[in-house]
Amino acid sequence: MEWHDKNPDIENVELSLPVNAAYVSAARQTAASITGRLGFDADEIEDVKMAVSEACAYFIKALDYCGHQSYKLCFGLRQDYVEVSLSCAAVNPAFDRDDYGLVLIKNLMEGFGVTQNGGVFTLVMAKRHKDSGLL
Amino acid sequence: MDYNIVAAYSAEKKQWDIKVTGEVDIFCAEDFRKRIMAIFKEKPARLSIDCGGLLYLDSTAVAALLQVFKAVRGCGGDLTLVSAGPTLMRLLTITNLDKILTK
Repeated sequence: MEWHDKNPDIENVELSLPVNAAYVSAARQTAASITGRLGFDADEIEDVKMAVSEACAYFIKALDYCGHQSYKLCFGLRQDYVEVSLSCAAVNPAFDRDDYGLVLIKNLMEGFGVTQNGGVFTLVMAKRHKDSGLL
Repeated sequence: MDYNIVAAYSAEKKQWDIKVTGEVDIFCAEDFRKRIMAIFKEKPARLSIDCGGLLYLDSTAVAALLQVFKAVRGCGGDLTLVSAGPTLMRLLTITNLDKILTK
């Protein structure tokens, strides 16, 4: 049975990651595994892997100096796209809006945005399946 | 997964041939920068970095390479990336560093 036969529109995978660069590769591998399962092609998988890696690095650089312990990485699996969000409750994160990583994410993904609501910082991005008719 | 560097000086070409394999990201980018700089300091010469065996290089690692590039150029040397795969080329093209780091 394919994963989407059960619940085609809403499945979420959530990870809580330490603010530690050693775990970025784990986030990358998770991204590759999830997009592979969704039927993304090799180029699309590389795009999501790269964007997730850059987003994690971006969060770590912003959170490390102010002593935050962890952040949340969520994958929202939809029928024809994956939505990725990173979030943390942070007092004073040092987000650099000219970061090389952000430039890459904006080029590789769709629907990119960074928001701050009630002290929670969130980075959201999505990738649509080119051949979504297969799902 | 970590990365590995193998460096050999070619007296004929008067350059360092450096082969990098594995993955370089934010976790080891600083170590990567220091190791490449140490090779240059051992014998200042042109650096040719073969990226054919690289599985992944993130923007932090590319920023580290850019720092080495600037330091090396400041000493009259040069740094070139060769055999960059499609993923790395994509990253370099998006950040407009392809014309600087690959020739």
